[in-house]
Amino acid sequence: MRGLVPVRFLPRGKSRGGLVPWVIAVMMYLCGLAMVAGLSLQGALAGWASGLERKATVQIVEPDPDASRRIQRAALATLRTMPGVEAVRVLPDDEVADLLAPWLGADVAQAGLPVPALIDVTFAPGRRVDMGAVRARLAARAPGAEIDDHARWLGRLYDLSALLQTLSWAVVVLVLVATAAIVVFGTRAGLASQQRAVRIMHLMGAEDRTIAGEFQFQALMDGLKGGLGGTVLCLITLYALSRLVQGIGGGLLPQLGLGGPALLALLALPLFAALLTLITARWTVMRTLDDLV
Amino acid sequence: MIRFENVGKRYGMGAEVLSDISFTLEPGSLHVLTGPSGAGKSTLLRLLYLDQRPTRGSVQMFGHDVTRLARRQLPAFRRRIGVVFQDFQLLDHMSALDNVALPLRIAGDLPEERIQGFVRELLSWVGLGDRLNAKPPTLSGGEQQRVAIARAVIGKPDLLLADEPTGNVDPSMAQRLTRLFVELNRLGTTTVIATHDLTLAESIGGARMQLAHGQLLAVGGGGGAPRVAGAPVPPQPADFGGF
Repeated sequence: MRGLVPVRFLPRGKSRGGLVPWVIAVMMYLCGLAMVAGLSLQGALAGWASGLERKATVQIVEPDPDASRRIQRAALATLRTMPGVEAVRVLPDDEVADLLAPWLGADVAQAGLPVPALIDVTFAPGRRVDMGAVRARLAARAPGAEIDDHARWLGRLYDLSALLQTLSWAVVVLVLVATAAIVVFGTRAGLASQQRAVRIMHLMGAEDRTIAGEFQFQALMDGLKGGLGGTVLCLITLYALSRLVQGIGGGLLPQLGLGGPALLALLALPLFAALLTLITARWTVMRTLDDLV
Repeated sequence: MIRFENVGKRYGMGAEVLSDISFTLEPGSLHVLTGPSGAGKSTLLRLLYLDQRPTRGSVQMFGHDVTRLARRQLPAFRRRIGVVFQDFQLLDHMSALDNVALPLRIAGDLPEERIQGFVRELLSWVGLGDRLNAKPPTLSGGEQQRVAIARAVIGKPDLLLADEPTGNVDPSMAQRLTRLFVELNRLGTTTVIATHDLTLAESIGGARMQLAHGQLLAVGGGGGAPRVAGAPVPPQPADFGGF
């Protein structure tokens, strides 16, 4: 029984700052957001990029319409015979105009500007296509047609993803360190305000772990309350954010769905917060009691 | 048995508060520690209830040299010592019952039902049966003193220490408390009562330990009141004349 149920000797709710669970809730909220960002970002970007990895765009910049159509036909014929190419589609002029509209205006067709012809290429899923060979064959059979497989853009996207993930985990670590520091200060304040009770317990022969027991029990409760509050806030925020992203439009932004690992981590956050506050409070009390005889 | 040998105590770099203190307390003996204010009574008591370690010398307690024990070993020794502090040192937010139950809960050897039973019996015995749930600030000085005494003896200590135990009560209550300590000693508890009140010291009897300027001038008398080995606490109310 000893050690499991703490010997109660502190006034209820007065051994710690009343704001500590609230501060822990805020810290766990930030921690949860950063953690979910770290865990979800890679999945979201990978999902987003996987659609692009199977795509390539052939661009034909030829001011002469007849020459452009000739290159188009040659490029289409070449691409259709290439292994791994699932589908090719020439983008109609109005689609190309729509794509250019944000930069050149809605009446780009009427402006008489030379508009490039675009061919959308879709590769078969799971097939690795030798882009060098595709480029070489296009150059030989349809000179003037250039293929872009988005590799450079995707590479930058992955670099950005890795950087954001590192930042997310750094934020998680910093928030946890800050939370531990808050618990240390809170526990020290509790010890200072209950110095007399601690001394009486000490003189009556209470072991350090017995004295620490009640402080760590209260820290555990603070951690649980704060962790639960932070997690609920985090879930509400993520739900609102995912609705917002959906509203902006599919394809433009990656969907921020809560994957399995992120959801599990988020649900474990209150327990983790409780464990962190418990261990920190115990360590603080034991260190402080070491100063007594 | 408790033995001090050439014990000295100084705080920081100051002069010695206690110098060359040597004495032996036989099991079940009764001692009255006297001396003027500043003589070192409180420091000697703090050494006895293991709140301080001596700067030099050795302190043998319950068969061990406690000056050589590791810090983690001391709580077990403290649980064998009951202390009645001059200012009671009760926890104001806890009831009289919970204050007295604390040593038993700390020891962790008894289930809560038995603890409650012992505490109720003991508090009834000291005349506080109807104040079980009263918090110390609502109790009179004498009542607080009795709660403090009950807390000190509930764990059947081998050594009972009392620092100016009658300093906060009226003469009539002082007399009753004095009788209580003497009776507790008769039940086999080695008892040391510190007081600067010479009249009280006379009325207690027992062996006299006189301190002056940090030195023990006299250790007089023998083993004090007769011992009754293994006597249970709480004792029968009749033993204390209906205190």
